[in-house]
Amino acid sequence: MIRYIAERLIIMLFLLVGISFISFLIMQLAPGSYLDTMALNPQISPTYIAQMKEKFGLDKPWYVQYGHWVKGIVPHPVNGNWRHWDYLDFGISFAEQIPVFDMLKPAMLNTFILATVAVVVSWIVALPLGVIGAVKQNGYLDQGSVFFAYVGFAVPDFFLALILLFLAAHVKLVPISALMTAMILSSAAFALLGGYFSLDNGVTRIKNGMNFLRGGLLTGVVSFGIIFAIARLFQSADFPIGGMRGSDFEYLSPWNQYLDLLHHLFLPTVVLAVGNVAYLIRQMRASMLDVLRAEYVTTARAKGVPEFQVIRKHAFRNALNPMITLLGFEFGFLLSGALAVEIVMSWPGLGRVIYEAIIQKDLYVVMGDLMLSSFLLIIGNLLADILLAWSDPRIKVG
Amino acid sequence: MLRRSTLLIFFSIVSLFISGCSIFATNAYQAPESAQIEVSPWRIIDRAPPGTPGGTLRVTEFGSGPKTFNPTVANESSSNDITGETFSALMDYDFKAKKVVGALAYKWESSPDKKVWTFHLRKGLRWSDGVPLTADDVVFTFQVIYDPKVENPNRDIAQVARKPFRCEKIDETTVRIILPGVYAPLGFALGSIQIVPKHILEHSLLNGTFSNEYGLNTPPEKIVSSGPFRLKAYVPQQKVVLERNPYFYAKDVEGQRLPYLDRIVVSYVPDMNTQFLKFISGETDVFAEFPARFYDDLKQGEAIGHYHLVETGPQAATPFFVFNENPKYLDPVKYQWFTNRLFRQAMSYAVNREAMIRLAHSGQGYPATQDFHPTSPFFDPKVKPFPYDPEKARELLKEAGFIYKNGKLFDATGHQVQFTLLTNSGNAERRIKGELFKEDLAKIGIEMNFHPVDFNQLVTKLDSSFDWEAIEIGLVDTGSSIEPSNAQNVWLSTGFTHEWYPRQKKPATPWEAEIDRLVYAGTGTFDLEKRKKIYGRIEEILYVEELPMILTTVSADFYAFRDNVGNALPTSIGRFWSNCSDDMLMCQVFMKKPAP
Repeated sequence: MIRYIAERLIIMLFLLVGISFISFLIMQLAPGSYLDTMALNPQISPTYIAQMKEKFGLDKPWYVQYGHWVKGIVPHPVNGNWRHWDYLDFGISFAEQIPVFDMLKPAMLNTFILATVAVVVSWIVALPLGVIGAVKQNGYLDQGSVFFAYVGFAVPDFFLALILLFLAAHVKLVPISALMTAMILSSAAFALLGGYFSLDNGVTRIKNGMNFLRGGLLTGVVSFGIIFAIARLFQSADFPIGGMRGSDFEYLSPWNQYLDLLHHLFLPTVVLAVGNVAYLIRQMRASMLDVLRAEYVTTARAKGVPEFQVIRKHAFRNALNPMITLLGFEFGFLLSGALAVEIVMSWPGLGRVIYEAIIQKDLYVVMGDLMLSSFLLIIGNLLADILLAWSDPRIKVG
Repeated sequence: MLRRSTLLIFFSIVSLFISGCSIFATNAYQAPESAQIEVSPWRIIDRAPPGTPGGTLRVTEFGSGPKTFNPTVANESSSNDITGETFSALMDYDFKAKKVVGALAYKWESSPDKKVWTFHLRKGLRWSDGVPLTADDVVFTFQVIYDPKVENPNRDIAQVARKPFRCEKIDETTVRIILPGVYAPLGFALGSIQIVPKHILEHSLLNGTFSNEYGLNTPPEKIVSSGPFRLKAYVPQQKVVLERNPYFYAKDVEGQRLPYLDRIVVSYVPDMNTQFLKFISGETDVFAEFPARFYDDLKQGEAIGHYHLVETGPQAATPFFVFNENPKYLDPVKYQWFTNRLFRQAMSYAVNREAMIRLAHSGQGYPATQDFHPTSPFFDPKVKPFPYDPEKARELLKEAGFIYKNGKLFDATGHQVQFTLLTNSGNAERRIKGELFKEDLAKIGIEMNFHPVDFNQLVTKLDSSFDWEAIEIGLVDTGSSIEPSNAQNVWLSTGFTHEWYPRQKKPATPWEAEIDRLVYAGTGTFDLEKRKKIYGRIEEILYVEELPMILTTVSADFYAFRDNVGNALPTSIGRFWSNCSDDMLMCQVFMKKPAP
């Protein structure tokens, strides 16, 4: 096991060097540099730009810059004296003039908070729904969650984020009568849809009419309930329009600061979780269905093990294995999936930092972020593999 | 069995713990008691009627926030907005009186040859930590901006013909500034150079680390300021909290100390739609300089939303189409067209600016006419926009020797007139205007290709490779409406933003030579009437006669203010909440108390 981990770590080292080299090259091949925006400002002279260029080392060829950057990361002496030495120095941000790591740290923490909460929430919601969907296949809950999954997949997250912000901003301004009308109309539309999908071929007209009424009524009532609950939630919760902290955050007591943070966390979490939940439900359901068809489940049932125990002990445990592999990929989601939400909901996370750094060509910030993301992704996958080996005795590593 | 559930619980506990941790990131900072120190004389700011002290103003700004809190090295607007509120200069520009007035200095006199200037500082000035602000700080500031290790944009405006000013201390509250030549933009320069605290930053100048001081990683309480506000908190990418500086040296006409506001909270928002939603939901008090596409929605909500809209006229910017007139990198055939004055005039007649305003600015815009904003003392009403007249354009082209064949335009040597217009992608207004220009030109038989390209690529072409035919771009007014010489890098033939042919060894045309002469004459006299005449002539050459830049249209400048914001008097030249050009404004803004 230890040997396996060591091997993976050594491979990782080579991988990181390769990634850094290629991305550095690509950044340098793209035209222009950080100082370009200044070149169009009549107030900033070419002398100043030339000075900045020299200060940032941008006047040197790219391989010299790359070498200099790598030298900062490996252990190196400070001022040529090995008594003081330094390592993991990722360079400074051109824009903010502070070390890249100082810049990435708070952003990383913010993204981590948002993504962790979103991941935890979505797993808590998705796993039971997936299991129930498989056990009671084609039941109402299953069909409901399948429908939700399709919608969740189809709606782009930036759009969902905008819609939620729009609701949060407008729900207070819209008169209650208009709100009620909108709710009734939309649930009526859902009812028609639900009725249509309840139609059946090859039965009498009257029976089909009953089908339509029953399905329509059910979807109508359920969707009205959901819409009403959402509207009430938005009315009473008074969600903030983006951001991570309220304008008076610094003047609150620690407990109220914590509540303020949760208040700000709610909408971005929902946006991030929706797509993820949709995906996880489908995965969990499929994996569970596979397992339920297995012979050992039939055996367990035949032995007279209570159905709940069959599901919990025999089916669920085995269905979880593919999910653990997915957990490794969730680390990637942790880092990259939040970009659109971070921009629309102005959540001060890593995605925003790197997006802006790429636009501005803030070279070392981009490099630092890429290194960090690659590192976390590789480590995440390694952890998932180890976790899998630990949970499933059939799998051996090394 | 237990292991998996413990894992889950552990995971959720860790996440909750981590989310809880972050709240300790900002620390409490106790403000010292309000200062009882007398300033003599007080600076009286009477731009608006007196207000009531107290309250918080919440504003949003587009983008990710300041890049530094160091006023000397700050070189872009989001940093200048903060340093503008937290630092003072010797002088200031009064937008109401349209002239330079005293800030830290209250009076000044000059030698008869206008080369030696003596400035008297107010007595009793203090930094926000209570340490006196004296002539030493002023001398130190000049030492900083001329230091070769401190790269800063101020150095360029604080020199005459590449020679620095000399700044000497006479006594604790008097400094003498000796100029190498007569320099009319002196007032503007002294208004832009914000004084930095010697007692804090002196050692950093000695170790050569000055540029990194007062960076974003400096704890807010370490940043000592002299402006109306001081930094209370900074949360990266989220917000800046400014708190009133109890030592600020100004009062209103009734003798109340300024500023009125206790706090300004600036939230940084990377998306304009979110900025809009934040305003209408009541989370912020101001929506400054919002894009015209929100105008209709905001106007509708004005009746019930407890806010009102203010329009301050056209935005202070000059957007234009420019043709390459640099002979080195251009097809000689096209060089012949573009350097022909009649050709460029025809282009300007061909632009349908009405359509641009309707489509690119949602009907809320103005034709751009010149470098100066209409509220500037240098604005020349004689310089008017070209009317839309395709017939006239055709006539001018024929007069210039071009020929029409089957409705297409050819030059005298038989080449069909066609060229490529570039602009930066991602700017919707420019894209619409470019498309409209293409249609306008098709009407007079010219075939134009329009390509939005990456911004950096565009800059490389404009700034170093020079291989382009026509470009659509704009320059932001960075103070030329206050002090025209700020535009000199556009005007001078040696200038680096003289976009049609930058960095000329000697003027390529007689009219460029004339502009060069006028620019030097303009900085060489303090006589306002004379200067107005000089700059009026420059504008006439550029935008009526020769048209190297074909001006298009600018959006109207809109502000939305919640009704409880008092003395909200924005101007288009100075941005609403920034005193780099106007600190009188934020000083007098106040929050109206709700009626009992």
